[in-house]
Amino acid sequence: MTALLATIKKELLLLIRDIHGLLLLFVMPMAFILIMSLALQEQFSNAGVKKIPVQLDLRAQSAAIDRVAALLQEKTVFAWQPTADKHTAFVLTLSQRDDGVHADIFVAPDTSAQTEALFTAAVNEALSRQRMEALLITINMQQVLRGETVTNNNTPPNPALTVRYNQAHAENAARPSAVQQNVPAWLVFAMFFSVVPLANTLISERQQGTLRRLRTLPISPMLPVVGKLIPYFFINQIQVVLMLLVGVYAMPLFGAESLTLGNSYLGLVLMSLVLSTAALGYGILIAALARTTDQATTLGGVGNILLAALGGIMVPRFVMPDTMQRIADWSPMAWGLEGFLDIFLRNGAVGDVLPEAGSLLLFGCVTMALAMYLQKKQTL
Amino acid sequence: MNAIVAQHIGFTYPGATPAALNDVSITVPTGSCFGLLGPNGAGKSTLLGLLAGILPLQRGEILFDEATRKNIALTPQDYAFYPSLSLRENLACFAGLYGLTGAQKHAHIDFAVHACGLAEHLNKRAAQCSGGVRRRLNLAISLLNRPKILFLDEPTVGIDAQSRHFILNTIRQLQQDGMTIIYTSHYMEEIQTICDVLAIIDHGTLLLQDTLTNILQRADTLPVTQQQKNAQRLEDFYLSLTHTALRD
Repeated sequence: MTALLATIKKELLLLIRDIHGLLLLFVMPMAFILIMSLALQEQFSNAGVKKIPVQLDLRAQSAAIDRVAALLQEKTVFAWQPTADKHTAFVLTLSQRDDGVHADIFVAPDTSAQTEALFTAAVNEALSRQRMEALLITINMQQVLRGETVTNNNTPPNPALTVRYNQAHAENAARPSAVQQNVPAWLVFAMFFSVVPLANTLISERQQGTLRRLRTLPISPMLPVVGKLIPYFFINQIQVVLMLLVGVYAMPLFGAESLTLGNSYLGLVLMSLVLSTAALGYGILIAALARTTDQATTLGGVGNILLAALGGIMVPRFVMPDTMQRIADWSPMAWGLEGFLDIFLRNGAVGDVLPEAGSLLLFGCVTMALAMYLQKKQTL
Repeated sequence: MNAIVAQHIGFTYPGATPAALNDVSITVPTGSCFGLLGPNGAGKSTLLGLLAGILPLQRGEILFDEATRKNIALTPQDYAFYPSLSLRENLACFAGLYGLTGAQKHAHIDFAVHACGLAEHLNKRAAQCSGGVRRRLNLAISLLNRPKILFLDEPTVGIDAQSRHFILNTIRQLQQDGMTIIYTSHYMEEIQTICDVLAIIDHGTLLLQDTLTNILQRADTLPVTQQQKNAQRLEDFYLSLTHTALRD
């Protein structure tokens, strides 16, 4: 126990004196949370930049309906689908009535007001334009028949438009706001960035011959690594608390909404623990693979950025195409982020985050075992 | 009585040929200063690693005096400590790793500090100290557990004559106090100054093991040039001019 405490104390002293490491672990993610949440507020409130999926349902065959459909399909901001799926924002039904084409719009529950206004305006415009065209054709025909100029003071009637709301699957379809997305995202990123200082200190000890000296001491061969993991585990927990405090209390000071933490603190603690296990396992694996601190910084840094890009940290998963979303399923950062979103956004409990927590725990154990194996081979 | 008897030691690094050590047998008398000589790549550090228990024994056997087996220490050639910690923090950390606590911890740290002349540098960070102080810290850490056997891997590399003189005197004093020293170096005059038994290895093979007296008697039969004699005297002359007091 004395030896373990000495190792932990040493590690904390090393970390406190590593200004760059502290900046990387605490200041960088806080800056990212602040900047990205504020910069992307509008984007998130508009439900992203990808095309808005709409199912078009034609209830009758007529030239007027075909024309309205054609006019709508010119709008490239919408993705027209033959059938609805969980991503569909609107279902538009066009039917023929005595007074002209009638449109019914069903709105998905997670569709923002701005998107709804945009779509309704587009449908109104298409209906109006079709009626105007029909009217002009009638006027032209009368002119031809009578051989006189005819003026028509009647404005086309307003198209009949009914908007209804579909509340089915409202909870599962929830999308995060900028704060809800960015706080957990950059928190996960920051926890994984403990890889860099952790790997660097391990490699420095190897290069300086300190590990060689430690092997002559009456201590377990595992102690130098365990004594390093424990302080970093606590550093990760401090990161979680700090980043959540930033989300809850600091973001409203900058005009953004406050982070909602959901109802399961137990789930939150579970996610925090397993995420740290995964990040630290990845860290000692990088340390075992890299020969120099430069290599570790490059491997760890670039690896983290790739995992973040794939895992929905930098670009939210809901704006990714399906293929990319499937690839994202392989990033441990995505597991961490989805776990946090389950709690913050979908009011999930411990049971809801078990798949993500299990994957992270498995990832952490496998990377640690692999690192130990490589470390043992390298000592020969 | 012997502190270590190593017989038919062989070692091959994974994926490397030829063997780093091949059928090496040495005997280290208790309380001796055992010099291990050889050019770069001869196998000195590998032999030291095997004797100190850092490397797993592949061939042969190593027998320790039971009383000393668990009480060994290694001073590696590298600065094997934490540069961003102060000397005091480094010593406290390694004392903790040896399992020392309370008054015993303070006593052992005081012993190492005084043996290596570090008292006035304790609050400096190791990274800010001169090469001489760092070498002495490297040695001091090895003395924290008051070892019965001390392995020294080129402990005077890259330091000035004053620090080297101090370290050699310290080692001589430790030996006089009963410690068994196994010492590797490239410097013949160092070996000649402090060692009483020598082993010379090259290409992983033991060429010779004998007492220093016997080896010097053999060396006297060889032709010696005036330049070689001057090389030995140069350091004495330099120290008489610059004196032996430590500068940092």
